[in-house]
Amino acid sequence: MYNLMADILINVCIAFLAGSLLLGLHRKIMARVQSRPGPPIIQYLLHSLKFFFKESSFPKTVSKPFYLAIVVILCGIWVTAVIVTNVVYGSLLLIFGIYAVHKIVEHNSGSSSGSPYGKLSCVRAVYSAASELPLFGGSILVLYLTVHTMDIGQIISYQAAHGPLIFAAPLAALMFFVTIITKAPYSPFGITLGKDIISGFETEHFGFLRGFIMISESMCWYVLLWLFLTLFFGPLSIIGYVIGMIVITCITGLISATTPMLNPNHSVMSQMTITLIGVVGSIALMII
Amino acid sequence: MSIMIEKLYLLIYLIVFVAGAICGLLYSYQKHIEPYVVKETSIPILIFAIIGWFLTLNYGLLNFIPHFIVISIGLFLVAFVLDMRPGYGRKETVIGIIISVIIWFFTQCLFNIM
Repeated sequence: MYNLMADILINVCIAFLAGSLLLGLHRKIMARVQSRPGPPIIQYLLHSLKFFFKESSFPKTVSKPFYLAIVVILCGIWVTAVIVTNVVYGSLLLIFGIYAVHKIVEHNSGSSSGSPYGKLSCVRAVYSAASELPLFGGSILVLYLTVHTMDIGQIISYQAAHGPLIFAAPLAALMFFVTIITKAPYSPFGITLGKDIISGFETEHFGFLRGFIMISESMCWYVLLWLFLTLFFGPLSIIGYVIGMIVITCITGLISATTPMLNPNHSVMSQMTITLIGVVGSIALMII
Repeated sequence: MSIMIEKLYLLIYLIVFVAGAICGLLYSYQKHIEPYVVKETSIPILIFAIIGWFLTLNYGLLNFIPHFIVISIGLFLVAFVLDMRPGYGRKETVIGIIISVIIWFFTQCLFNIM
């Protein structure tokens, strides 16, 4: 007998564990590329769990309702994303909404902390939203123009009949891949978490709050990779997903290890340029 | 329903992998307390790696045991070796993969062609 709650629980646990292991692999790849031994692959997972047993302190400067609620919202939206993608195969518009809320969370997390680093990250979150959301939205738009639906289940069925969308909409795949790179740790586009502003909006979150942020990040990583593979490589088996996720994580690890973090202006302009090329190029390809 | 069972198996594999990785990490840090990496192949760890990769890649050869149990045991051993203290278990993992892939090739590809 099918049990919806059990399905949700299983998928959320998979997203957390697989996402954590993949982010651990990402760190390992980065380290090996930079000729360091690097931490064990489960380090990210152990790190996430460790924070729940650490002392949680709240700086005097924080706006407490926002400071606490924003972390709960961050966790909540990515649990919702797991349900929308892996459980109900719902609409891409919902995922776009979740991504938009994620940017708002970055903004409010930084501003509520009262830290200058958090506030700088908050400002960066505002204008990086202006380039990241069109990038992600552009990818979804091109998919919609190609398949005429935003329903993930129907997109999978379309690919089962017509072949993977990576061939029909390569520029949409490129835009989505840049979105994934943006969310990778130490990414060239990761200006909100730049080390020039310590840890950005996460700087003043300690103890269990940081634990929740790390859990959310691992689910975010899993959902983005799952979506990329599902939307552009058609119906895949579980082994296909595992191999695909490992390969993409290795590629992003290589990019993160070899590319310096871009200046915020350059990051935003690069993303906007890729969006412009992606959307205009895809429409031109459809007309031709 | 079958997808849900597949996902449940995947969750079990992930939990087993994490458990194996934690055990491997604890074992290697207890065994190797020196501040440098000893570059020699450990025979017990090599056996773990070979058995682990063999069971993970060639679970179909052991039809008398449910597949998810074979894969779970295999992944536990794979993770045990793979996630030891940084610098340890690399050679063993590579040897384990090579032997298992060769066995898989002979049993799955070559015999099927013949």
